[in-house]
Amino acid sequence: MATSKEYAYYIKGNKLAIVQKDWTFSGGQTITQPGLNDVGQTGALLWKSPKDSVADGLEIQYAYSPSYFINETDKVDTQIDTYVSTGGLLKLIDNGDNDYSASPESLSDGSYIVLRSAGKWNGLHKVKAAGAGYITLYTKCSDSSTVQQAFEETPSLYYNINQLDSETDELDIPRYLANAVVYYVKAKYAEDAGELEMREFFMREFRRTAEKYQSGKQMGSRIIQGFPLIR
Amino acid sequence: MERVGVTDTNRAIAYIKDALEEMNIITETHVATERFDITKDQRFYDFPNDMIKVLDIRCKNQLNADDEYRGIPRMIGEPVRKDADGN
Repeated sequence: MATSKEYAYYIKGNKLAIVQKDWTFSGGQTITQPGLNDVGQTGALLWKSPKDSVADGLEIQYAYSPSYFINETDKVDTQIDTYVSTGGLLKLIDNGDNDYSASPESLSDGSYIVLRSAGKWNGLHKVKAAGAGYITLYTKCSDSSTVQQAFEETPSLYYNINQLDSETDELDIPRYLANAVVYYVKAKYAEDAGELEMREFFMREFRRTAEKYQSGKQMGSRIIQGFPLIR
Repeated sequence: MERVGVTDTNRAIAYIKDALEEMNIITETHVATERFDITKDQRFYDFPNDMIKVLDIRCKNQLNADDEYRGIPRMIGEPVRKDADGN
């Protein structure tokens, strides 16, 4: 049976640091009866790097930008095994030698793919070359090792993608938020023209519209409770 | 583009992409969840490249023995004990 653990995190640069509380106290103390030496400064020593390996132990929920649209979610490939850095670019490897330049993927220079369950390589990528057993991307990869590295999960590679690159494309956002995008673009054009007052006005409207959309999803008023020491 | 009154497509699209990113910091329109393996004695993990805003960080068996994923707290400071690689 699984055992209960206690984790915490902090962020350092672009990395997420995971630490685990080590409950193994000296002197036979239990969790509910910590000794005096286990509190205060000494207690801080209880936090360590994770004590055990746990498959799928960490889950990150995050927001991403909808600058692309997956046309058909069933157009997905799950045969990619590993990745490697080639000439500073990310190369996806399929040891089964599926030909990605042929149907159904039909990838070539300039095509777009979206990766899911690919860890840090999640998201939209532009293809540089594709062939039997590989896809080279324009994505930068500064790994010095030439050894292929396995993905933790089986990545899903979506290949029927509509990238936002034409004025006929539609944004995958609610109608109300499209107004906010219009305000933002107007603000940037005003900034380019040196119209700073107009820029501030449109940016304020952008933030107001986005925040109204956000607060529209919450019922009732927002209540913040203070305490006497707040000034 | 007609509503902004511009004809420069590439510049407008670049600004629209900026707008979508800026908007997702204020209000989340698209949310994804990604799982990573926790490795013994490894403290630092990479964020997904397409991440704009962290919404929640959960760990398996956090204060439970039922294999549930629960949110973990953020530390204000760093622990005294460093990682094995000195970070």
